[in-house]
Amino acid sequence: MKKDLSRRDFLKMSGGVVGAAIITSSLFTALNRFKTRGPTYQSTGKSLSRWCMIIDLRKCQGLLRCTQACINLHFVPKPQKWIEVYKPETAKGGRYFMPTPCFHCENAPCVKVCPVKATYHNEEGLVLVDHDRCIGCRQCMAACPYQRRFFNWGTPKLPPEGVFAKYSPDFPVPAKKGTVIKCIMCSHLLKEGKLPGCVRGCPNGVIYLGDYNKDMASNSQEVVQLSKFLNDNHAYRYKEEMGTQPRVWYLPGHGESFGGIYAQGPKGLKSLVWPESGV
Amino acid sequence: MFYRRSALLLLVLILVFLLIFPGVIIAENASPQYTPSYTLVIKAPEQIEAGQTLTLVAEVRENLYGDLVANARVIFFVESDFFITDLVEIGDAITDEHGLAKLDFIPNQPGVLQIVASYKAGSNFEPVEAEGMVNITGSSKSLYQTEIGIKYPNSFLIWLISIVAILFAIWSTFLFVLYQVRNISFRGTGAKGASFVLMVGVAVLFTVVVLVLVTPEAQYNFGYLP
Amino acid sequence: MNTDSNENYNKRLESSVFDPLNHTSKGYYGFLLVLLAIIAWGGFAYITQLRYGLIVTGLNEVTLWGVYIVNFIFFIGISYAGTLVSAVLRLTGAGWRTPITRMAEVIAVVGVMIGGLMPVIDLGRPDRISNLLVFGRLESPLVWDIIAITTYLIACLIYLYLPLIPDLAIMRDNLEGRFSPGRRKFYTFLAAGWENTPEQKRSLEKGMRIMSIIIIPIAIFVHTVVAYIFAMTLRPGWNSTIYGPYFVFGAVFSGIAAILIVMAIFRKIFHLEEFITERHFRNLSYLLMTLLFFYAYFTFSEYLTIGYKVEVAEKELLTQLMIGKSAGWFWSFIIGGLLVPAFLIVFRKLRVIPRVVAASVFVIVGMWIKRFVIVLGTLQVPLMPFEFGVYKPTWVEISVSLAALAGFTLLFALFPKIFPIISVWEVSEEEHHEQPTPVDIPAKNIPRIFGRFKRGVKKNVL
Repeated sequence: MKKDLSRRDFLKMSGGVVGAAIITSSLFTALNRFKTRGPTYQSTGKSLSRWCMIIDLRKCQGLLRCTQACINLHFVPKPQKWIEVYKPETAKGGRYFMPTPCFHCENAPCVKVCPVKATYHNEEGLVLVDHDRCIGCRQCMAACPYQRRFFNWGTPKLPPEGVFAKYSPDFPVPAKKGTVIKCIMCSHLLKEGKLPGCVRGCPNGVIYLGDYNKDMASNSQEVVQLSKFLNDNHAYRYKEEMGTQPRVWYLPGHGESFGGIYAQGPKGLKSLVWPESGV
Repeated sequence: MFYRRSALLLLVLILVFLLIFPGVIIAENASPQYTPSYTLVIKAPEQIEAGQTLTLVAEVRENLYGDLVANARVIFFVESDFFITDLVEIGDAITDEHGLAKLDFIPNQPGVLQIVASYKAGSNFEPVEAEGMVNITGSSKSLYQTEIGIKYPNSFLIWLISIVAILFAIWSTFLFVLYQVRNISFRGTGAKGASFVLMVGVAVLFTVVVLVLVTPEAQYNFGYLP
Repeated sequence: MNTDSNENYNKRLESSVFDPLNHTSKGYYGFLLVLLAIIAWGGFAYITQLRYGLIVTGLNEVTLWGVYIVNFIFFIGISYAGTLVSAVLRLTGAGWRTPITRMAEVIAVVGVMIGGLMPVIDLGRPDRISNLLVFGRLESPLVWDIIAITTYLIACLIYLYLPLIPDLAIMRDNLEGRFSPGRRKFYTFLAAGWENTPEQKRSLEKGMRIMSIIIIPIAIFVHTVVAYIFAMTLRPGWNSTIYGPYFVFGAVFSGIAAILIVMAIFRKIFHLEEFITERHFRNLSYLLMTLLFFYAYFTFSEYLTIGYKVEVAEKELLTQLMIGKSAGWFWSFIIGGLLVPAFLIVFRKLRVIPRVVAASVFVIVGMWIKRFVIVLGTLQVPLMPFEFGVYKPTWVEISVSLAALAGFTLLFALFPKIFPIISVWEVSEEEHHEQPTPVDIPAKNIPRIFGRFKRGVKKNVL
């Protein structure tokens, strides 16, 4: 009559197994610690900036140069528009133009819900995506109340300089299939001391890039003091009541600077050209 | 007789003319017009720490007698190198009866702050400028601190420990139930083994689940963000 | 006399339940082959999706979740049959549940397995699924999901295994000659040396009691975190505080409908009419009716509270649901998923089993539609001032969904071939408890509804 394991033996054995399991799991976790997430921000010793953006709606004519500049700079896959110019209605029935990049919210809902921390805040406050870690669950896209995140449903067809670019979360080129992608506020340019593509691309100087630390903002044509600029022009943030604390401010307006309270239509607008179509 | 009268008339006319005309000439050739010109002087402390309030004072004097000018609007700029070099307007102030215009400014970054003040007396006048330098010491401060969420001490630890404790309670119950199965086989005759396999499997799975939660790569949001 | 009929009853039970372990008809094999074919086709569709990416589905930036996530909620919801029938009815002492507990537990296990697979199919990069273990974050609803579903799956498996032990012992002892040695060893191993001694019975009772208590909060937790995937976002329709209980009640509702359908099918195929009777269908139909009322109450309060205030985004959602693009889906759920089943259950002129099973089919289809409306209705509401998005599922999504359903059915079809589909010992035990005392109690004095399981009267057998 064979006896089963005695209680002591059983406890010893299970203790051993659980201990082995814990050790292997810890080793596994520890080894993965050294898996880098791509080039991290190299501190240049200068004071860190905290970026923000101001968009002056009085000057926007809906030319879409910002969108095109962004597409050209980052080989944005069709049909994504990382900065999109919406056309909200005015009370009198016309439309005005509202360029909308990713707001890089301080209380970002996308960062909160990511199950693997593939989307994160970098030291300068921008919300970036690590495309080597993203599993493509799209929970962040569902959580974003501004619909500013896009998904690479397939493999984008890019020209050679796009395909062979060196990938980093600050410059997500080439876009990887099955991951989420969005506006990065040209973090790669900011590190080099250059203004983002949309800021430079706008001929009317609508978009300003600001720094909370330096209290300055620039639209490549002039520099203003950030706090004064926001205060004097009654800046607001879009859907402030959601509590996301976005970093992009809007100066209210309906295109006054080029005449008329509301826009009659975009002038000089060509349709957008994506890298895979025709390049 | 006729010549005496006309000569008298002529004399009167000449006298009248001489009286009026010089007045006119004098009036026209009055003393030359004086165009006021102004001097602007910035008074600022030499050094201040970043984050402290810097009071910029500009003095407007009229050049003729050195009078102080009141109710003059002086605009202040700082030189900045924010992606492009430009003068950034930081505010304006009106001179009081002592000719002083005061503006409060809080510099955030250490370094040398170049201040430019400008006064334009009217549309016909050229703006008068003055420059000054202030040394800003200390470390860089910022406009405001980001605050998200509701902060209370040890919030993250409380959550993590609660959840791990609940999971531990549930999975220990599973182990206890499988232990009953082990009891069943122990108290019977013959075959053994199923319970052991099951318990090991459950224990391993549980350790994996817990380690998911405490992995250092998880990088939870501790509440502070840049 | 009674002991005799008791034994005959048990003999008939065992033969009905143990026969399928050995004897499989050609039709059955044919059916399994059809299911395998559907699964293979679904596998091919999934490989296509892996090759080209999610672009082969009908998903886009606006409707970023589709049929896969609807199936996920659906299958996890169906698994609640197990919790309800096995655990809740056991705790409330409803003895009539004994013939259907095994089926319910199998629904729970298989539902969770298939349901847990669907989000993996939905991932853009399933090759990186290990990232969830290595880099998982406690703050994300998806990680709560993983923890909850793993815990629930283990709980359901344990809860399926425990009552199997005595049945496996019966198979090990009484059916010596019918199995190959390997198969017999398998049963012996799993039977854990069950000898039906009092101490063993005590251990088993203890284990089952603990599981039946703990599985209820686990089950509630599971579907609540499934709801939190939606409720933790700032979207109209999803940004609701009652989403947790809403989903839980919906799950129990669809779970009861599922067990009714499964009962009816197995009853037909394996000729279990004597053991699964009208009584079971009637009692479960009362439960179904109760849950229908609860679910209608939740749905009503959801839409009333947002419809009364008519905020901007919710106005868009309600217009779309009630009179706009999704109106067809929404009203077919209300009428087909709520009103018709309610009518069928309440209207008692027809025979019980056909009308209750028909009501269940309506409920199951209606609940799938309702979850479709929940997921896609909200996604189609524009958050920024621009165009709506349109969702049209492609052949890939439909094939994979059908394959998931086929997989569910396949696992169900295989189960009675390996393990008994009715918990034989529990039914016998219940019989034993219901054994009338030597004084014969006239049939008409024994209450019929929710009462003692009355047996031995031919009228009950259909």
